[in-house]
Amino acid sequence: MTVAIEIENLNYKFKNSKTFALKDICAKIKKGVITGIIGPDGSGKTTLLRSITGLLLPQGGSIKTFDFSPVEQQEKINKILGYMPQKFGLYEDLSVEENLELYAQLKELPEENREQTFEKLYRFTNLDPFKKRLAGKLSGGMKQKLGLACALLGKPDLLVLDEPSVGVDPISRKELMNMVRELSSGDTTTIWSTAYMDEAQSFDFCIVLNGGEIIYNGTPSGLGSDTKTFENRVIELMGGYKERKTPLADDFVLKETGVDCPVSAIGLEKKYGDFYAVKNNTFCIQKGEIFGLLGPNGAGKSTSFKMMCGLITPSAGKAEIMGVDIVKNPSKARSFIGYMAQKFSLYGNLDVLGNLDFFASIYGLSGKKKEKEIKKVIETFELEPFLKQDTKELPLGFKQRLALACAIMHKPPVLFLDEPTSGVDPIARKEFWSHIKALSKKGVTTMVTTHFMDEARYCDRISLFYNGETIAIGTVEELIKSAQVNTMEEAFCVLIERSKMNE
Amino acid sequence: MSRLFALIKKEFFQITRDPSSVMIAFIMPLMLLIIYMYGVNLDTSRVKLGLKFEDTSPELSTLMESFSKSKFVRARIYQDRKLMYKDLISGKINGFVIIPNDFLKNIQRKRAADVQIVTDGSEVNLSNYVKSYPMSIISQWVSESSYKYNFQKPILQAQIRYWYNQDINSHHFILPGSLAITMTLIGMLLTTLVLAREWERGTMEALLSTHVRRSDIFLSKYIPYFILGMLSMSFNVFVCVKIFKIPFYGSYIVLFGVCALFLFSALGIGLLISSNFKDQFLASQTALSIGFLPALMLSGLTFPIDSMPEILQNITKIIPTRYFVAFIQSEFLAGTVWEIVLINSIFLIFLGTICAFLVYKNIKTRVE
Repeated sequence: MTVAIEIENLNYKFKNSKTFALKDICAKIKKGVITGIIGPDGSGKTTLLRSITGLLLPQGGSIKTFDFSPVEQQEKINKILGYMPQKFGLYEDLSVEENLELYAQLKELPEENREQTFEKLYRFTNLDPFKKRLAGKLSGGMKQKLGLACALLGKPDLLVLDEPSVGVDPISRKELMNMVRELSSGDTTTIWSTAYMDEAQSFDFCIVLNGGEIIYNGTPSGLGSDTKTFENRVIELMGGYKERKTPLADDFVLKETGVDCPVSAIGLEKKYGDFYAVKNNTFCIQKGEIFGLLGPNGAGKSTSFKMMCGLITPSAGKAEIMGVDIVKNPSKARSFIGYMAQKFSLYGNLDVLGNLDFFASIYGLSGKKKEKEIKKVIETFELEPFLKQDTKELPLGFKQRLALACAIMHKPPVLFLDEPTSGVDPIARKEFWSHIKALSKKGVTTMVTTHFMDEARYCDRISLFYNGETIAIGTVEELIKSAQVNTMEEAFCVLIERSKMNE
Repeated sequence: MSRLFALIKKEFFQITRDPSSVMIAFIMPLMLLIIYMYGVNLDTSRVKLGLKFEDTSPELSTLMESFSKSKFVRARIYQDRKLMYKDLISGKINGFVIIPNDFLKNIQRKRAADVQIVTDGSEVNLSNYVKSYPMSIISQWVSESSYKYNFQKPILQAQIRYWYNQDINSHHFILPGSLAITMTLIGMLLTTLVLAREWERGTMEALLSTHVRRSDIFLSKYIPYFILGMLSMSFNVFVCVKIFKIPFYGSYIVLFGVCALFLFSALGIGLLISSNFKDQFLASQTALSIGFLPALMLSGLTFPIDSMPEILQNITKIIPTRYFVAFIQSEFLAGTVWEIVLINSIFLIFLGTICAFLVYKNIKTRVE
């Protein structure tokens, strides 16, 4: 097998940053196969891809992309390149058809076989019925397919996909992989970056990045034949994770209330026009239970979540927190909740201490008690060295810790976590879950949404969401059993397929 | 060429589907024109004046009548000084005139007669009118009264005519001038967002990895917004001339020719700002503070350039709106004066070219 891309001692450092985004990267990427670049957010994946395509100039070292230098011969690389940036690079105010046509013209596809190419792409992406729809109105999975279709125009020799599967459910991810395999001709070299460890198995080769350095380069099976062993090996390579008891839950005492179902929904519904975002959703989360909401994008997870917090008023049904109706008595019901929003919603311009202080105050802590709680979370989450740093500059893993710290300072009996682990490295995720487990043992009731199928194992019960409805509910084992498969991921796909058939 | 054509087509799709560009190009100018037409008025309407006659001679009743008949003042007779002071403080009157005890006596004796005028100095412009209107009313009255022979005729008698704006209607020069401001706003606002938007939405990265050249991006950002700007200009001129009936003495060909040059430089400034930012919010804030505000203050429309300190006068030289204001006012009121047209055009071409050059240099073909 010949080498497509040769990277030697590549270095890159962002302006105003103390650490290297890429540090002495050496790698050879082979021709005609799919190579995965795997790593958590901020590990240097995008910087590496951009350096390969010539979108970024390296500050040290050299790259040869198909015998071209990205520094001097960017135009030549562009002739053989299909590139899909993060956020897909689509014009949201242009229709599916117009986006494809635009990119076909920009890539100077010959007029005569354009129609043919389009037809083939429409067939594969199932976008044919949506030709006239604006790209901005497509679902995440469809956008991603369209983005890929645009990148595939002109049969590129080199296909570079920057996190094509971010925020997309396992089914769409599988479809995407199949598309790449089938549509890229046998000798297309594909580079695919991702933050999901579980995707690694589908690549021919993988390069695992951490903190700007390569920690593994080889076949995925070299690290492990399933996601769990793969991840554990990665954690080992990152320096290992030491299980330790978290002091967080030590003096966490909840008032006895006698409420059996701290979080309950009865016939919860949300209707937009004649479209049901959430349909007849009923569940009851027991005290101390970790309850996971799983489902593809647009299934109604976020809507349910927001109705439970009182951020969206339900069209019908009711939601109760500690027996208090969130619509009738929102401020009382909310005082029981610790809420961690998607993307953490911290104040980027405040320093860490400022954020802690602010959130402690809005959750009603003051004086000595506030000081004590802040001091405690600083110790537990090891935030001491960052206290004076602006929050927006924190590494993602620390942002996540800080967000959790902010959510639990007032010792809420109920925790709502909306995609708390997206983009965070595996060690930080493990740590995070150890805190949640400890809190759950003390009787804190947790509702959590996640895209990581492997995180389902931390949950006591799972509710599988599809098309606004709960299609399955139970423990991981129960779900896997009812789908008659081996892993949660397979169970997810099977159960959703089954629900599609029933329609 | 096909790449450029594709990009321009895309840009037009985006313009027609984005209500905000239609707002900026047509609704906002209409609002501004309406405000300038009905809201801004530099001609002072009637000055509110307090009057106190301490001289109670019956002959002065005709003077009183002159005041009440005047179309420049709205006089109110006071008996009580204190009440008059109070009304001045509360702003019910803009100033007052006191005719003293010996007023008529002095006139009869051919002596200079005193009149006391007090005005509200916090409004400088208005207080000038408060000063001059009563003076002229009183002198008019004297010259028509039986005492007119008691005084010499003034040596000079000015016969004033207002050229180019016979009725001294300030709308006739404010509205054309406001067109220049509006076009600045359109030129800058439309374009400040377009490059920053591509970066923010991640589409620039996708563009840069196709066969697109720097010149394609450059031209695809100028041409569509230039066309939109010219359409907006036609709409504005139509509203001014046909609906608000502002007289137009110039040539439409020259007007639109110079407007094209002006748009070239205004779009250039907008794009220059945009090419320096990857964030729409920052770009629009910058456009407002370094593009639009100076254009409004220093273009010579609201404050005459000649009375600015020298440093500011020099700064105005790099503001394209200044040249366009000067041109458009003379084109509307005085017709085509080639000297004015040429000088201003040369400056606009010069500024536009510099901007275009900088924009071209500034369009990045890489992410960093």
